[in-house]
Amino acid sequence: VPFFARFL
Amino acid sequence: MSLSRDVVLLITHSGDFFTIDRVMEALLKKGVQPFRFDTDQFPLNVQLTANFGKSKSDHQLEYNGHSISTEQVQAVWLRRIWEPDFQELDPQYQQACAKESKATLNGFWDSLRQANWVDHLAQIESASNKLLQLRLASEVGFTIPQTLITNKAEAAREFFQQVNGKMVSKLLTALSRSMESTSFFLYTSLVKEEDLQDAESLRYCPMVFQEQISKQQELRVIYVNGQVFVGALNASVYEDSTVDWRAPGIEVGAWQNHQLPEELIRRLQTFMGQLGLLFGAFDFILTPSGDYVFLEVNPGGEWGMLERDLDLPISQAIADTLIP
Repeated sequence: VPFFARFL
Repeated sequence: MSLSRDVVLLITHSGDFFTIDRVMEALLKKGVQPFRFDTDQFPLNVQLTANFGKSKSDHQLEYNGHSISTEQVQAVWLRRIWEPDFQELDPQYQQACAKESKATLNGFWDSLRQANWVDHLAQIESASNKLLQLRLASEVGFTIPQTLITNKAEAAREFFQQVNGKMVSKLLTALSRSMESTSFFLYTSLVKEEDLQDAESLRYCPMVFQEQISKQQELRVIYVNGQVFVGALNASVYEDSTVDWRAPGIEVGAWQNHQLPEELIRRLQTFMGQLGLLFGAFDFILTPSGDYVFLEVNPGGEWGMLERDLDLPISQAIADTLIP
């Protein structure tokens, strides 16, 4: 998963 | 029924309300006929017919029992373009139908090139580039946050140290992924040191990192053809729960009036002149030391809360820009 996924 | 009076075309979607209604009311008072075009209703419930001949072309748009032709349209307010709802259509044809519909609409927009647009689609798309915005903002003299965009893990970790561990992240584009009745959103988010243990996953997609700016107030500045309308939020009301006041479910407190310095207004006018835009919704931070920090401008940003709560005449300003 891309790094931004943790901030969704 | 064909509308006979001078027409202002309002490009939006069927779920839009309040702001669109206020602009329609302001236009009616000016003696012109607003025509609302809900783009998500095309092609299922809106009929578009274009004839091209040797000497001229003619476009007709029919919706809700009314029809207009290109020649009647004096001005266009481009508020939103939404994709069609093709739930009843075989999924294997949905993308092709949406793409062809979009191409047809692009031809219709071209037929309206003589009208007064707020704003032109090409300008909106160009201005939506947030990195272009940051460059231009810096060039016209705005203070901007220290910013890094990278897909390199080590660069993100170094930047985290450079800004003393006060770092937020965001994307350049709006993320909206619908899944049944839920959607995934990505608001501006605080980055913690433990997050960066996974920074190698930046290789799949770059991300924007910025220094976290201390806030006294956050401003939504609506720019309409040289005029500015400002609403301010007291950041202390919500700063313990979010770094992004736009997130839903956050109690942000009351909007307050705010007077911008004249120099800042002049910079806004220069900035918008460079982008070729008549309308924009800016986000600024006012720091505890009194500095204004530019975050971004949204060419289609929302302003209903400012007109509703502060009685700012934004819809009138938009109508006056459409029909001077």
